Amino acid sequence: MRVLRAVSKAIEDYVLGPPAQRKTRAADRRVRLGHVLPLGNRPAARITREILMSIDDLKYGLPQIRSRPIRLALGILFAPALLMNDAVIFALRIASMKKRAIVSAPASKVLALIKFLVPKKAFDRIFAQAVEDFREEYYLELAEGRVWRARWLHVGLYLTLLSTTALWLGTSAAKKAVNLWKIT
Amino acid sequence: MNDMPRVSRVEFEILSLLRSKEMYGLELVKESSILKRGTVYVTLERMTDKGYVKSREAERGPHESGLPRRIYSISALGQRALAASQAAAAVWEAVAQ
Repeated sequence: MRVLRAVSKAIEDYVLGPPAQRKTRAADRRVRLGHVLPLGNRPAARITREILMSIDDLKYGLPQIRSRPIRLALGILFAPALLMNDAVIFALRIASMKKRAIVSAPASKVLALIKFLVPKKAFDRIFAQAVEDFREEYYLELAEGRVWRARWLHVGLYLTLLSTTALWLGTSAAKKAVNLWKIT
Repeated sequence: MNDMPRVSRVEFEILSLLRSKEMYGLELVKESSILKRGTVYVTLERMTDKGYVKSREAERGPHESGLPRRIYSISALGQRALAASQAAAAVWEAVAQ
């Protein structure tokens, strides 16, 4: 076993050069794969981790192999594995991004639009209050695990905002008309 | 003679609810069967302009976040308007019978 390990190390050193001179080191690999590698000691996690690390070594080790024919042969031989590795890492990265994504509070965009369109007083006293009511109920439903009810409230908010806007526009127009009538 | 304050059905409901304690919009909607989320704040704003209700920004704890809430309470004019509407309703009922 010791002989085998020594022979393997000698071949590795011959092909890739001494460890201190290699471009790819363990720290680089941690940076590349650190947040993608599955954690834990379950067999599936360990095997996946080993496979991803071996293929990563191969991928980043290949360009450092001094002999061109060996480099080509290994590249052709392992091309499907390298491609599959890239696909797996891409999928894992997307999944982890989704998990950690920071989203804005519900109705933030519509609130920003309303803030841009209506006077500050109307925004503070009418529209912001309606959205705050919605958010209070929305978070309460989510906290109690009623996701579908929370989604339904989100739909209901748009209906509420529509009727609020229509009524506010009507009231404002009537107020303006009365003021004009009083002046004339 | 001063103009008799005119109070609609929704305004009457809001004034009746605010007579006992100050509330914010969602509380009013939950307590009443005729108030709707889409109209309550516009009505409250109109009543504030008329002087029937007053509003103030709710105090918040340092750990609380979100948009500032407004709490509504009935004003002296609102109380008089409510009393006048209730008296008018009582007279109307007596006449109708």
